[in-house]
Amino acid sequence: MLFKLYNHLLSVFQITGFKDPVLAARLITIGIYPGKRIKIIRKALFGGAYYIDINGSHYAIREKEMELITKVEIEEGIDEQ
Amino acid sequence: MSNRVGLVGNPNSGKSSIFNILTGLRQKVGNYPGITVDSKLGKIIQKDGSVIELIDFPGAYSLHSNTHDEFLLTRSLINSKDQYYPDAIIYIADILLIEKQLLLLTQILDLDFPVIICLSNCDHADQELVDHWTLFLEQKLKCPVIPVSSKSHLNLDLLKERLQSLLQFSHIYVARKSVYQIPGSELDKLNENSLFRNKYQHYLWKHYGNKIESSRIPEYFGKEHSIRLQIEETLNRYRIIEEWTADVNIKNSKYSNNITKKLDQVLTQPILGASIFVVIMFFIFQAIFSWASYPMNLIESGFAALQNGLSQVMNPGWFSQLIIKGIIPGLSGVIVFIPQIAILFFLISWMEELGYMARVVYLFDHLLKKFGLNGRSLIGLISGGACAIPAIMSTRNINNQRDRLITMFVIPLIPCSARIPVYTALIGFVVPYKLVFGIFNSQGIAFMILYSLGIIMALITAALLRYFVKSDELSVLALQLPDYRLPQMKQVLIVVYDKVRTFLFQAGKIILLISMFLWFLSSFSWKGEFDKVRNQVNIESAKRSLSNKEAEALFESRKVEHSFAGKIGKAIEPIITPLGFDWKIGIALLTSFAAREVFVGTMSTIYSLGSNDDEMLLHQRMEMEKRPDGSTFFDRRTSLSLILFYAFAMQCMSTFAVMWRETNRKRWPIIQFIYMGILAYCASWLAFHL
Repeated sequence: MLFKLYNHLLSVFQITGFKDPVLAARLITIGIYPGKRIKIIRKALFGGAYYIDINGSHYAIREKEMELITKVEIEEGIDEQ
Repeated sequence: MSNRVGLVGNPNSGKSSIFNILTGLRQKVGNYPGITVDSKLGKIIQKDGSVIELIDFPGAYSLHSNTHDEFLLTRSLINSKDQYYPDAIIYIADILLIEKQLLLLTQILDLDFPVIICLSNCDHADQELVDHWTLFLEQKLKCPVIPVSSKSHLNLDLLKERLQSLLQFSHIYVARKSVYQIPGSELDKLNENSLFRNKYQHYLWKHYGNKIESSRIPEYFGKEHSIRLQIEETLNRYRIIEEWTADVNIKNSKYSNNITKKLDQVLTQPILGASIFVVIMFFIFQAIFSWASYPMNLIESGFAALQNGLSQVMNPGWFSQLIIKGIIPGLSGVIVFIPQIAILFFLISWMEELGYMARVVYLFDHLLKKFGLNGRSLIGLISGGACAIPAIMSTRNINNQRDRLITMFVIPLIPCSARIPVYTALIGFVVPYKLVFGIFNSQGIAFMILYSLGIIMALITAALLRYFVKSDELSVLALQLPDYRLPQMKQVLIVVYDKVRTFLFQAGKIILLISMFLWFLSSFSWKGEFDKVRNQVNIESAKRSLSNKEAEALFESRKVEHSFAGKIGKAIEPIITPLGFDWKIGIALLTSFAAREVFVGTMSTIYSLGSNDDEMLLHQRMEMEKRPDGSTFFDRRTSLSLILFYAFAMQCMSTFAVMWRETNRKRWPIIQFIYMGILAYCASWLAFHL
C-alpha cells in the first residue's frame, strides 16, 4: 500500500465535527476542533499515521482517527492513483 | 507545616526544566497511589530559610483528563484530601505556543487556587511579545505574571520572592470571576457543599469523583453526559481564548519552526526516516552492549578484588562469609547495572528533550499497534537485547499504561547478553562447529536462531496479551509533535542521576535481599551436616591421595550438594527429569536465579572444578558427565532443552526486582515469572522429547 502514501498529500480540510464523542473529547483537548484547518503534510509507511499541520503546530494522527473527523476539503492536494 | 506548591502546565511547556532549576537536586521521587507514574517532589529553600515543597505534576492539556497522566493532576486538584493537594500553583506556559497553554490555565484559575503564571522560553521571544502577554494576562486574570527562561535563569529569583508573598497573603486572597460559566441546569444540581473550594471544583468532582472514591459522591454524571458537558466546556473556553488572542499580531523574529519543518522532511520521511531510526537504534544498542562493558568489567573486577582482599584480612566465620559471599556479590550485582542505565537514559532523555521520540512514535505506530505496542516500546525492546534492566526502566516514557505494561512484560524474553555465557557453554553439545557454505559458522547460525526465537516469542506474547490486559484508556495516537529544541545537558544529566538513584535505592534493595537469600541457601545446611561432609571428603581424599586443592574443590562441591540449595535441587529433580535435567542442574537453576551467567560458576563448583569460571574446562568436564545408565549426559537433546530453558525462563532476580519496582506491584513480576517458567518448561520438554 505504498501508493497510499500520496493520498490527499498537502490537501487542506476544515473540521466540521466528529463522529465519535470520546475521540472528540481527546482531540479537542489538544487543539483539534471544529473550525480549525488541517493540512496533510505526510504519511507514515503501510497505512500508518498522518503528519498534519494545524496553525503551524504539528500532530500525528491515525488513519482511523482521521476518518472519525467530519471535514470538508478546501484545497486539493496531490493524489496518486 | 511547610507550604506546598504545585507546578502545572502542558507537556513540553518547560515545566520540568524549571522544576529542576528551582529545586536543584533536592528532589525525591515517590509514586502516585496505585499507578506507576513518578510523582516528583522537590524543596525550594527561601532566603529566610523557610522551605516550600514543590510538586512537579505530570504535564496535562486539560483538567478534563483523557489520559492517566492527566488524571493524576485532576485527582490532586479536585480532592482536598489528596496527598498532593497544593496550597498554590505555579502555572508554566510556553510563550511561543501561548494560545494552546491557556485552556488548562483558565481551568486552574476557575478552581480559585492562588496562581503565579510563568511565561517560559522568554529568551526565544521578542520583548514586545513578552510585554504584551505579561501585561494582558496580569490585567485580565488578576494574578502575577513573570516571564522566565530556564536557559538563562531569567527571573527565577523573582519567582521565588513572588511565591513567598503569594503564600503569605493567600488567606486574604479574593476570588476572581470565573472564566467559564457552568450551565444553569448543572449549576442547580451543585448544592452547597463545604467539602469543595468552589462550585467548579464540585462540578469537576461530579465528572471524576467516582474514579477516586465511589462512596463520597453517588450522584456523578453518567459517562455520556459527562463527555458532552466536557466538550461543551472546552469549546466554550476556546472561544474566550480566541477572543484574547485575536488582536495579537506581533511577529516573533527570534523564533520560527522552520528548522523543525526542515528536519522533519528528513527525519519523518517515510522510508528515510525509518532507516535513520534503525541506524540510531544500532548506535544505542552498541553503546549499551559493548561500550558499557568497559565500566562494567571494571566494577566487577573491583568488587572481586575487594572480595579477595577482605577474605585475607577478615577472620573466617559466618559474619565474614556473609560480607564476602553474600553482601559484596549482591552489591556488585546492583552496581554493575549503573553504566548501562546511565548510558541508555542519557541517550533516551536527550532524544526525548530534543522532541525526536514523538517522531518515532509517529513513524512506527501502525506497525507496533498490531502487537499491542507503541512507538516508544521500540527503544525498550531493542535495548532488551543488551539487558532487560535498563530496558524495562526505559518504558516509563510510554504514556499509555497498557502499552507500557505489555512492553515491560515481553522485554525479558528478548535474548540479553547474560544468556551468552550459558549458550556458549552448551551450544557445542547441540551444534558441532563446522563451516556452512564456506563462510558461516554453524554455531553462529544457531545463536542467530536462538536470538530470533526470543524476539518472535516476545512479539507473540505481546500480541496475545492485548486480549488479556484491558484498559479504560482509549487507544488513541493523536499526539502533538513538539518543535525540536536543543536539549540542555543539565536537564538530561538530572534525568540520568534520577534513574540511577531510583534503581539503586528501590530495585537495588530487592536485588540485595534476594542475593543474600540465595547465598544463604547455597552456604548453609542443617546443623553438623557440613562437618560430616568434611570428614567424608577427608577420608576420600586420603584414599585417592588428592592434592589439597583438589580436596578443597571436592569439599566445595559436596558442600553445595548438601546445602539447602542442594536439597531443593534434589527435591525438584522429579519435576525437571522430564526435561532431561538432574539435581545438579536443579541447583544451578536455583542459584542462577541471581543471574543467568551464574549457571557457569555453579556448574564448575558442582563438578568440583574449584570456583574458577573456565569455560573450556567446564566444557570438557560436562562432556564426561554420564547418566546412571552410562550414556552421555549432555547429549544434543538435553543440551538443547537446557538452552531453551535459559532462553525463556526468567532466570534473573534483577528483572524481577525492576519489574516489581516499575509496576509498583508484586503481582506482575510473579505472573511474568510463572508465564516465562511455563514457556521454558514446555519448550524444554518439546526439545527433549522430539
